[in-house]
Amino acid sequence: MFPTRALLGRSVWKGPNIVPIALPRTLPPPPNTPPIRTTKRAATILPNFVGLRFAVHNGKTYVEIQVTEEMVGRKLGEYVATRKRFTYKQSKNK
Amino acid sequence: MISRGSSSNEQRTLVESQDSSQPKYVKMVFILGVNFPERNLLKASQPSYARSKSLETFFGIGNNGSSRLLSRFNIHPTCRVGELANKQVLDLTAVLSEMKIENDLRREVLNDIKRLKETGTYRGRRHALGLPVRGQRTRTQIKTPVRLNRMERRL
Amino acid sequence: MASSWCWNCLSRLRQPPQALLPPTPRISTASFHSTALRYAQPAKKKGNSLTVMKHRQSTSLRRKKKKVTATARPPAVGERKAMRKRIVLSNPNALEIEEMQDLSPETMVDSRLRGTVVGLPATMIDQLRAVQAFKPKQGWSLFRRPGTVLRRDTIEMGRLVEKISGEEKGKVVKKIITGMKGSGKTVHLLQAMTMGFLKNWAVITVPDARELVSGDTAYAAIEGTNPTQYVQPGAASALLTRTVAANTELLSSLKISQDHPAFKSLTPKSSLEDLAKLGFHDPAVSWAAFQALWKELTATAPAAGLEKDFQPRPPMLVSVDGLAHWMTDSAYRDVDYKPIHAHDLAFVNHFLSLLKEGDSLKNGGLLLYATSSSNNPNPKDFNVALDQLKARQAGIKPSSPEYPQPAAYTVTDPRVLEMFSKVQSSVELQTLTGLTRDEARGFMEYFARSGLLRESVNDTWVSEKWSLSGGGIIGELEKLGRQVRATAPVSASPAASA
Repeated sequence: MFPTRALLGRSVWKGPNIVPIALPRTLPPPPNTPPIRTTKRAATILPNFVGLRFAVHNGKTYVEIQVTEEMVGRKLGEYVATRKRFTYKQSKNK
Repeated sequence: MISRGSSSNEQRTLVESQDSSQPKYVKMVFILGVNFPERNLLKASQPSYARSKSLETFFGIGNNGSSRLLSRFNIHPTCRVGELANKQVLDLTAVLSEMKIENDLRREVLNDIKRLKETGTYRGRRHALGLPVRGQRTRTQIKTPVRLNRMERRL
Repeated sequence: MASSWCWNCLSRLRQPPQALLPPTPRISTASFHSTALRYAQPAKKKGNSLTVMKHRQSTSLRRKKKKVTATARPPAVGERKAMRKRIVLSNPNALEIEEMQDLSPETMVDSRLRGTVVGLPATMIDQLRAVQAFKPKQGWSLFRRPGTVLRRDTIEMGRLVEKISGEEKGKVVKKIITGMKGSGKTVHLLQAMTMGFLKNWAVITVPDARELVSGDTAYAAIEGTNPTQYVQPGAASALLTRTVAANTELLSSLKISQDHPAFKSLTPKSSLEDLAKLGFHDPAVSWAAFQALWKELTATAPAAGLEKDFQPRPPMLVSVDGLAHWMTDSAYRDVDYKPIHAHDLAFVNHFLSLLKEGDSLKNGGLLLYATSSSNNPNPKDFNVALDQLKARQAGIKPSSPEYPQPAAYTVTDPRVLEMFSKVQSSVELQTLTGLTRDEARGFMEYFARSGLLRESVNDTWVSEKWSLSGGGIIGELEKLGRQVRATAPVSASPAASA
């Protein structure tokens, strides 16, 4: 039996997916620092990211997220949706 | 404790008269606040016995969990509730009361889902939208998530 | 451009729409073989373009499930099992055979009777039922009264039993009985039990070895044992019940001769029956009671102070059916959820340890452990161990390359092979084979005389059946005997088929 299927996602021996991301020099960053733009959606959120703002690529634009303590251990991409909700639009030329 | 399909007959704990061969009411054994008829199997070893299962009626105890519980107290797999010694009943109740089952477990699961929603993850959003969470296709066959996944999820 | 046709003229001939036409076979024009196609069945259309579908009708073959309604009361608890285990030993429609002899101390060694069917003594039927010697799927219900063939192995066993009870007192013979399916292993045990009862032996049987390992009776760890042993109070109590029911006369005549500190209520006057009854009334002490009973039955001399009523103990017959079940892990699990090996069950261990070298039965007797092929878990190592036993008996040395070894690259169960390496010199492997032609003839004549056969039993017919039954495998012969009855020729008088 599996203790939890969440463990099946990635081999333990690999450890978390640590991606080099250019963090600001001073922590916490001074106000008005621009968010860290990144396309590394698969990067694991490390404890030292907490409190930072990221602009994560959703395939088209960069969406800003604020990293909180609960997000640690998850991936950046989990918080930025890549799809739009389907909405039916009335077509004009009918 | 949630109600578990209790008919009026099942809830009665009348003691059968010793001389009559056909007891009028079923004798009951009390495990973790729930009455089980003595004739019930402790563990439903086969799906066909599912109606007479006892331990597996607790939310959070399934086939494996009940097997492990039984082996822990040297109870054989086809034991009936009535065959348990008093000490075994007390032992089982003691262990069950320390396990995270029933409402504690439900609360934990619901809290986990709630946390996903609140932090704004993709999975939380799928839960809230009533869509499958783990990447299944949505073109057809999403009856279960439609039924279960909703804003105020119940278990 | 104007057409040369007047379209209006053709309008009458216009084809009706396809949907209104009856389904006609569309004959493809082939250069040859047009006739065959013309007469052929109209080809089935693939789509159902002609059948008009109702709006949103389901095309799947899903049927509505019938709701199950209980029409009658379900059978009482245990009734169905009782029916399944029911044993019918007599058929009033079968003819009685006048000259049929009973199995008796005289007939069981009489080689002149070889190949005839002898009846089981009517007085012993209850005892045999008590030790569950009869099995539900055997053909007892075909005949007027239960009887068995005196085959070569039976007479050999009869002589052995007589020898142990007479001239070679104290001798212990240990046998493992194997053989093909239907070769008569269980009936061989039954014959042994009957002989045991005839000679006033103590008969202790385990009629189904599987019951002890299938996880259907309660178990409890014995504290302070390493590796942990487990008692099965329910099984021990059932064993005592069987033993007392079958050996009442013997056990009630023998008095206590040893000290039993665990059973304070026993006095020097109490019989072994009293001792055994203590066990099956209270499952908590049933295993201890069985051990005490065993101590009494294997006693050769009385303990101090109990000499007065001491009688020498009779030889014992110990039989187990379905030995292979004891050679794997059982369905029980220990505290750490690991499967318990069958050898760790005290009950099983007791009976298996009897196989070891030395006189495990102090007063002599017979150990018959049969395998079963109708319900066989087929443990690899046990099969290898049996092969090794066979090779040893054939004179192959363990160092020889022909000596059977467990297959390489398979997971072996060291306990089984280890156990058999210890018992190899003391245990004899007896393989039951088919009946000889003469014995088969005697068996088929028994069918004929009971009114089940209308054929005249002659040599050619018997020899045909003997070959059909794989060389006289008695279970197959019995099936053939039944079949003949089922497909009786029509010309036979109806009275005979009744």
